Amino acid sequence: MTSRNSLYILIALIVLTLIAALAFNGASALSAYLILLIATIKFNLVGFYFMELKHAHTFWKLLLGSFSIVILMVSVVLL
Amino acid sequence: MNTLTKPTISYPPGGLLIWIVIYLELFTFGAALLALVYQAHEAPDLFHESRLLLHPIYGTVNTIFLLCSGYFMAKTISRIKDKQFIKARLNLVFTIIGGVLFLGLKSLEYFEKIQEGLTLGYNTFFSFYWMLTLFHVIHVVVGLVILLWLLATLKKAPERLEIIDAEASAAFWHMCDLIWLLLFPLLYLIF
Repeated sequence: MTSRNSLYILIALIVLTLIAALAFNGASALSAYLILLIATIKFNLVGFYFMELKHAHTFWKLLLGSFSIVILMVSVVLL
Repeated sequence: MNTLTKPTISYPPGGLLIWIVIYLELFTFGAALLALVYQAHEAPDLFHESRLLLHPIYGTVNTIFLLCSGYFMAKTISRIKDKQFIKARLNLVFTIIGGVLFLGLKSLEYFEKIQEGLTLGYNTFFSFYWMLTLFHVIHVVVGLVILLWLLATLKKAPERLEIIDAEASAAFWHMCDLIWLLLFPLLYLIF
């Protein structure tokens, strides 16, 4: 990954963090779902770009992606 | 024949063993987080009132510290691959500073919570809060020790450093990011 791309990813991660913390800070169900969705996106951005999993075998990509989606789905069901 | 140019199932970045550790850790934290969500479902008022006793600004700033640290870690690996060891060391120092800042702010938050009497046995929410965050802090401390070893190797004998060792160290550090990215919203924002 180029230095510029990794900087863009960092900026995206920080913006998503601020959006989750500032815009959706509340106890409504919709806010909770959006916060979880943002967390899932951030989780995969770190995994695929900073950990360079995007260059790895599909097996590892699927394992990480499906883990985050399972956590998201089960949390949404339980909330 | 160069077997490393084509990704194989046994060669994720850092090697197979570190990724087994990472997935075991993620599944452990994932199970604990789902237990947290289930308990919140059972006692929503308790979790809401308890969550309001945490300061989201601490969690937000700590998230940014870890994300910046992860960014510099990724740059460190990139520089090591390019054999630019001095730049790699500089990026690694920034990585370590991010981790130390995270621990500093976490310590301040812990101190405040103890002063307020919000300790491990205060209620179910704070039992989860202390157990999950302390377990994560242990990982961060171990990660920092690994990074200090990497820094020492880069300083003393960078030519002897195996790229797979550097990648495995980075993968462990990024795992701390991944766990925190799940902890932060569930402890500080949602309930």
